[in-house]
Amino acid sequence: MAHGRVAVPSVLPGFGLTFGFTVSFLSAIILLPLAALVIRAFEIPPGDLLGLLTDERAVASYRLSFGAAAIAATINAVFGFIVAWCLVRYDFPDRRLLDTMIDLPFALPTAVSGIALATVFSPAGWLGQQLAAAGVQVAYTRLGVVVALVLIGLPFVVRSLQLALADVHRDLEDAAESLGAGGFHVFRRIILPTVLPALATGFTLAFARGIGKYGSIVFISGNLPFATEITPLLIVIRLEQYDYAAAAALGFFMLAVSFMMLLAINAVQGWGQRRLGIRAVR
Amino acid sequence: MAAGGGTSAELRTMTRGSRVTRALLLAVSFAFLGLLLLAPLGAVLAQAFAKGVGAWYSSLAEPDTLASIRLTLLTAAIVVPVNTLFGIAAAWAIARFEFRGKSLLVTLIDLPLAISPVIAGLVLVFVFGAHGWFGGWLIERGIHVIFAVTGIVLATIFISFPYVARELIPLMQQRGSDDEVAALSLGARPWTTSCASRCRRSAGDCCTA
Repeated sequence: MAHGRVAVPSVLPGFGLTFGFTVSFLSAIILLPLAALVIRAFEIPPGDLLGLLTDERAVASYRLSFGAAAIAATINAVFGFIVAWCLVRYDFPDRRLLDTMIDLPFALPTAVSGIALATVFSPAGWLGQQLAAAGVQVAYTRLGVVVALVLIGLPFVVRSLQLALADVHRDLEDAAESLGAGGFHVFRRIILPTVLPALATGFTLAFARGIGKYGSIVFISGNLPFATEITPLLIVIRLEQYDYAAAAALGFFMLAVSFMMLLAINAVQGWGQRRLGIRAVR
Repeated sequence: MAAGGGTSAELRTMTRGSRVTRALLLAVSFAFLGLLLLAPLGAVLAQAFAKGVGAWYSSLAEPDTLASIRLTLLTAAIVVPVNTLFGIAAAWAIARFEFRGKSLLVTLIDLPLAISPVIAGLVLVFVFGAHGWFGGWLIERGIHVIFAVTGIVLATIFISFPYVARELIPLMQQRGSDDEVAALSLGARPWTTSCASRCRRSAGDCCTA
């Protein structure tokens, strides 16, 4: 076989064709453009690169992007758990409807969810009015960014937890209960350890997506420098100002973070598989 | 009956305490999703139809709107077949053969899912923009990528091509290659081995972009 050196020989045809096509497509669509970004960033003298990355406005945007993504992922870990629990454990009339709704943030164009949130949380909106009366403003504040990211991250947490919760052995719970364990004890000692890898996977996925999100946030964040400006937006602003060096530096930083998040996701999923044989989600 | 009114068989086996927990958790779930998902979507729908269906239709029929819808559909029509082709090729290579660097290949396919859409646009500017690697050469020859349909299509391919491959790889791995080996051994030609592709996700994402 022509490709015996690379691949284990197989009777099935088409390895050369499909492998070649996959690799060339990936190189043209992914590797070449990413290489352009990395090379562009390294053309900047190291001192300048560091200066661009630690620019006050950039640091403020990292703080918002990472902080809001972490808070949103935590909120999703708690409420996503409750939603997943209800979907897996309880039988109620609107279960199918609720299940379908979880995928809405995936299916909706990001701009639509952004506009929808801005509409309802703006001081004149349905919820914004009530919240304004209580002295809380969501739209055009950092809180708005968190709300938008909660919406983005919810499906990741719920979907990975649903699979894991369905895998929890009810026999073990029944056994524990018959031995006198209370509800909380069963939850902490049996359910939580089983679904912990899935929870971690969902959290990491939600966090990773949250960092890079742009479309749904720009509508609700207000986009004030130093206050409600996320890193992806700052990249777009630099690009529009033809400040290619700053855009390249920030883009390189975000790319490096994405790589690390991808490694983290793989590590978390690998940990879960080793621990319990839980299937990876998406 | 507890809130939500589940099946009576389920409720009968529950203790009073767990019925309260159930009602509480369901209430929290519905409140959370209602505030986060339904209220915003309802607000958008209400606003879209606030001036009646006629006003909605006439704003939809504006030339700008129609042009943008046409562009979105055109982009999807180009991107979905390209991504499906790539997805099938990648899934076949990955699910059916053992080769060195396989996990690296899978990671690379996943990469666009982890990368911010803004980065996808940025890298295309660096390659095809006026000061990019090929941008100057292409623009001299009258081919514009950035601020043109080609750029939109490329960016959409970039962010959505993992979906088909990601759906197909587990599917093909699960089914195993026994069927195909059997078909081949019985004299079937390679093309008769069927490939069910699921490009729904991909199509959805094209509209998103």
